[in-house]
Amino acid sequence: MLEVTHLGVAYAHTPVFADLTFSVAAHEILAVIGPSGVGKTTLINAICGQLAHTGTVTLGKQPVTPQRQRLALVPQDYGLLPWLRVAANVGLPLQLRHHPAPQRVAAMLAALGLTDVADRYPAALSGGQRQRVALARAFVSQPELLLLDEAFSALDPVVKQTAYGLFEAQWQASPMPTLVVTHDWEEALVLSDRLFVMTNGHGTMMANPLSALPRAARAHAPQYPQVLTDLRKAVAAQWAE
Amino acid sequence: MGRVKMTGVALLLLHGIWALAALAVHKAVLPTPWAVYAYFPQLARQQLQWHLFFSLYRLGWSMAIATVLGVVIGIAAVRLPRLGKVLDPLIYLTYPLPKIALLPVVMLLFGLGDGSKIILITLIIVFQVIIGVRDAVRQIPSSLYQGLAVMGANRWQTLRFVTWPASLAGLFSALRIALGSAIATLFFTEVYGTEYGIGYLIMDEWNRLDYLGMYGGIVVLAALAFVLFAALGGLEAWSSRWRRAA
Repeated sequence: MLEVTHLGVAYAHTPVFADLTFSVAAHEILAVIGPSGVGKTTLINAICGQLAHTGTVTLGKQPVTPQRQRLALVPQDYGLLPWLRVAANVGLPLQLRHHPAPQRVAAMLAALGLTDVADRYPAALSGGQRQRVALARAFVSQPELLLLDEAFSALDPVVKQTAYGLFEAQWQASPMPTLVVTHDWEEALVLSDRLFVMTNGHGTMMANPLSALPRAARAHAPQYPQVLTDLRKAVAAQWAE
Repeated sequence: MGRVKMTGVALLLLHGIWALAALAVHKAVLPTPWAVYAYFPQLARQQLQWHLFFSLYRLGWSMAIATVLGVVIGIAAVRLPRLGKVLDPLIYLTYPLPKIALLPVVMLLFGLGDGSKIILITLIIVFQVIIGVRDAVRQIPSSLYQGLAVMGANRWQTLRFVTWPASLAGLFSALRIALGSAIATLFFTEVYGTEYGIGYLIMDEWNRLDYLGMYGGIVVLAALAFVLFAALGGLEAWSSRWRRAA
């Protein structure tokens, strides 16, 4: 379980947020949603120990530190090392921990349909393939905490649906507390169990009205358009301020 | 294959111009290419291989030292920001300085031997290597460093997987550009305090009015420069093969 308590980050004495408290259960996906510039990426950076902050962030009661816990982050630009081939990029988290497992890497590549491009460099891949490499790299180390920072935003709608499906399959195979940071309501509704809506340095926890449905069925559910409209309307006034 | 063919055509063209000029001038100071090439067996008897060896020896050491210094300083200037704050203005001030003007100083301090020659060539190319490596490292997106930190990488692993591969591409492209100045400086340093080196050979043949030998030396120096340039070009392409999208 990830617990974030009274978390605050300030840049040059100007607080981005001062007091965020929430938790993500062991088998839960929390969507963090907010307009651009509200501090979503800052929140991710603070959680994975890359930014000085006030308050505490714990994972299984232990402070979050990349050296001691297995964390996985999929940033918006996917963060692939351009000079490593696909297979090496995917195997990197294992190699960094001195547990190279070529078979596990190969299985992960196969699961995400990347076997044919295993020997290519990221520059030779399509955007959708690059995103899948980033997902493979995130899942291969069986992380204790998974952070996705606008990890689906750059994909076109058709590729995005496939990517949701692949993500879901991998996540279900071994769920972990997961934060999906996004500005996209559809992504938040399709992927998450709950929603954490950020506005001007504050956050509000909301239920995902579609959480009872299987993820793959949510976008096609009859109530989906109405839920989307209602949520947007409910938050639009706050975000406009 | 296209590139090899084009290089061949360019070589033929250059020799054509040379031949035409030689025939037009028709004087001993500008012999024809075939006369110069016919003179090569005799040039070989004048210990051409040793001239070549000493030139390569000086050039090789200079480039090796410039590589080590350039990579270490170039990486440190970016990855150790506090050191970078001191290094950057130093590099900025000393880079445009015509280091060749330091020749008398280098000679006074390090003598007339190979040491002073290697130091002078190193001085001239090391700045280009520092700047090439520094700029390549500077262009690494911070998200790559962050990604590795989140995966639990230590400093050494970060250097190995992020900084080093990026700096290699910068290194070889800087060395390729620096090669021209390195060879020019090599020639300059070989006119004093030595009896070996292609630069010495050219100047010596010139003094003895042996124009065929002089042109032979120039051809050898040009061939040496071309081979090194092509080799560095190959290394540069290899070190940045990940940039090509195929």
